Amino acid sequence: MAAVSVAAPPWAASLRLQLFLGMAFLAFVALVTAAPVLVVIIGAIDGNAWHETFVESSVSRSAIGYSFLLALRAPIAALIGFLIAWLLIRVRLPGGRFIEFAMWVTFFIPLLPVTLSWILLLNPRYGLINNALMTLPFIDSPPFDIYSIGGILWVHIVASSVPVMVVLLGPAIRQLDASFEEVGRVCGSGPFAVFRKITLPILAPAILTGTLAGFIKSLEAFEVEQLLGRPAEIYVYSTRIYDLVSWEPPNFQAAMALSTFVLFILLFIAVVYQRLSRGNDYVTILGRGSSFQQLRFGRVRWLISAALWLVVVVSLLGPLVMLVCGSFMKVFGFFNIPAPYTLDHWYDVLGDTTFSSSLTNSLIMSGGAGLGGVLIYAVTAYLIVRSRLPGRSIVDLLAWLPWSIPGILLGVSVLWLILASPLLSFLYGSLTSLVLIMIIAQMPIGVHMMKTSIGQIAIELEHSSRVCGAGQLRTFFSIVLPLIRPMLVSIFVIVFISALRDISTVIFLASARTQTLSLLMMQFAASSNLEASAVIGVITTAIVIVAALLARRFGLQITVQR
Amino acid sequence: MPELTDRNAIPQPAEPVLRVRALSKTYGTTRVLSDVSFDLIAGEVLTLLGPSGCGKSTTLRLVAGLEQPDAGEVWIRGRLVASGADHRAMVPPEGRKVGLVFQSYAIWPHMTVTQNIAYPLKVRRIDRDTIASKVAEIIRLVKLEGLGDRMPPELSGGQQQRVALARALVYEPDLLLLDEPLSNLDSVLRKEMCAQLKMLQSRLATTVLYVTHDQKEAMSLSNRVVVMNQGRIEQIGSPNAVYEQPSSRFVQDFVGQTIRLRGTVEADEPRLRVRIGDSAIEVGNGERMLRPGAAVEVSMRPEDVVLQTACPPAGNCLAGHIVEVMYYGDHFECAVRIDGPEQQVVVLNAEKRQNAAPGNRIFLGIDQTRVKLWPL
Repeated sequence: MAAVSVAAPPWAASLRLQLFLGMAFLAFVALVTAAPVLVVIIGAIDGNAWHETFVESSVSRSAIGYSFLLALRAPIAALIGFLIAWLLIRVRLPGGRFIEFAMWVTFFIPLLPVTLSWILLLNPRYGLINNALMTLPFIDSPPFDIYSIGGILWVHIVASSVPVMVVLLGPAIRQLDASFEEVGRVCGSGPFAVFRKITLPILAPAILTGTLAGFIKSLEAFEVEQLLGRPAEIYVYSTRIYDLVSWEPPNFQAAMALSTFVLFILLFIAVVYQRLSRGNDYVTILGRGSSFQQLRFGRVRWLISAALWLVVVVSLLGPLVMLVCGSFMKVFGFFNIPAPYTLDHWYDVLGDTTFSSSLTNSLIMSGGAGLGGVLIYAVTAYLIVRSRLPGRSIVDLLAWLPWSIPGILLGVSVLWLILASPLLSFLYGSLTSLVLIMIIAQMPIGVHMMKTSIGQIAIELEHSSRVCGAGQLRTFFSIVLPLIRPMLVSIFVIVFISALRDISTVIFLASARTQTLSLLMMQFAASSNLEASAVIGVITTAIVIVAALLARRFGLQITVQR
Repeated sequence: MPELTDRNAIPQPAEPVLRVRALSKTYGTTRVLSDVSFDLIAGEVLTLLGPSGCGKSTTLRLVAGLEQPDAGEVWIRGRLVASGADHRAMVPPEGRKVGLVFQSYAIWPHMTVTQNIAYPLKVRRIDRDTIASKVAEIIRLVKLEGLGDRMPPELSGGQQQRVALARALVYEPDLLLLDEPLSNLDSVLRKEMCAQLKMLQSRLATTVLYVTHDQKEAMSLSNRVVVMNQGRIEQIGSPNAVYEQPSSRFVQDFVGQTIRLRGTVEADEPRLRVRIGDSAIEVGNGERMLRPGAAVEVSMRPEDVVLQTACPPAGNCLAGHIVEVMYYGDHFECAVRIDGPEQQVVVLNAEKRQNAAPGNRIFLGIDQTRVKLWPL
């Protein structure tokens, strides 16, 4: 064979460019996910701050205690949610499909407006339910007080934790091969014995995964605790951080010390969570999309259906009706005054320029985070799943990191980063910083869902394109992205809605100029202008419901499974 | 298509379309390919045949550019496209001008039939009219007329296969790579598509590298067959040579069916005689030096064995008894136990008319020129 002079062929340069771009991109993702955590840990390296936080400040200590007490809702909600999901999927129930749909809508509804509704119902002075019960002869004092640990737990469980579990566990139950249960029936067990001895143990890993996810998420909760806990002097981790940072001058170090403690607990849980969802092999070997016969329960089904309808009324319909009522009331909660209803608050809010600028900001931020997030998650996931770039497995791990950082903490550390580094100062008080932080916050779910989706594309579809003459980039844009289009839409909507309803993550980053709708709603609520807050709550909820319905048409599915 | 400055080209008369030289590939610690070399000349159909895991698909992927070799070279039309020694010579798949049909067809489900087929031309920035006429022509050629606007899920397996074929052929590649393209079709359709493929190939005079584990496909389609085993080439030759003169026991086993019996050499003069159980047969085998007493394996094709109720005088027969008879409609299969202490059992076809029943005494008439001996 003749000697060949191998000069660099034309594609060698483009290969090198691709390699460089890929590495740069991975480095960027690693940086934005790791930096906030590092900031917290470094910021807390100060013995005084630790001493101050955990020895001197009883408020900080009790905040951690309350946080974990309130986190108990995760296992409770997981069990109730699993039972509801199983009933909805496996039992033929009157109105079952609507109940499932209602749970799904509840999943997306922002918490603050719902909290307002429950204040309307359970406030110790004017709460409707309290007043109604006090007309009974043997009750002299208001039986319920929303401003309490019980009140906070109640709002979380009915409005968020249980519906979230129903939605997350639904697909897992649906994918469970019905033949496992059918064999159990044939062997002579009744439906409940089969549920207890077969269904529950097989799905236990999924339930546990859901519980851990719920536990992590519960430490993120901010607005409910802020609104309901503060009057009763109940502080949790997130509201305590809020105070420490919003004091003048802000006590960053105490905030960081408190955060580091929580961070380590969360990191530990996150690692366990990832382990579990990775070793979850026997959930994945279950048959997929198998058809099954729904169980028939005779008369009991009406009873079950009624109970589930009650859940829907308590978690969705009731709060929505109350919210709309509240927005039309002269004085929030006072139904007994003459002519209690008015349109004034709607006129006031809609006529206010702050409202229109907040609405614009919210839509730009949510839309920007949705679009940017979809693109960044898709590229990240693609590089993790398909490339052979060094460091991709590290990025795979790092992408989970924002899971372990509660929103408020993410906000604090990004703020600190922006203040401390001159290179980033241009981001201060800008919408870009809000978009960026929302993209970081949703990184775990976004990258994870994209990875699943891209991993399901047969690699031959991409190889064919390459052999047909298309390069790597062209293949990504004309084969990979179109194939995962439903997933792109789903993730866009998830990020959009999360950004729209977010309060705790953006609260420190938004300036007067970049105030969002949710922050305006929070501000009204905190300054006891509950009527105006309810008006914005109605509007936000309406936008969220429309977006969620659109997503459902594109087959949005959210699950805890891999 | 943008002009690729081809600095690796060396003009040579009668350059093979594909030249594979000493290819090796390792995944982790598993060596999947060692020292594989062959040439493919223009218009030829060469089949890589072997069991799963033998390295045939890896070879194809190395040729397509989907993998990089650890050692060895791949030349396409005189251009070095992959070299284990020098990774700069790695031409990506899109720069190789080959066509590829996967076992799964890999038709993009988000594009219509026409869009799928037009894709390679679009990528090459060919003008719209040319694309339309070329696509129409290839659609006619693979008999997909009227299905251009269908989405892939609406197509049958055979139609999908033809879409994949059309997509691979539409840009007139130098070399067509087919990775088990027929194995997802049912047996009737497979035969039909096999014939169509053969006709299409001779009409277009395409050079084809074909990968399969199905020896019938390999025999009927190819000019030459490369039998592979455990990452190595066992034999290269025409279908006839591979079938009739297998160079190893593996090739004989893998290509076609084989009956094997153990025996001992009884005499080597004047003819080689081998004792199998209670009988002894003559074997027309001169090449191998086998001494009396040597243990050997006697192997033959089932079609070279005749089942008889009696052994003709001076016949070359093994005596046995029928153990079991299996009915297949068009023929029987008999399990026959050879008389003798080892009680070896072989399965043979029997004609429908033959009166075969378990327990019957039977003789295996053996054509001594068609028997192979392998020393044990």
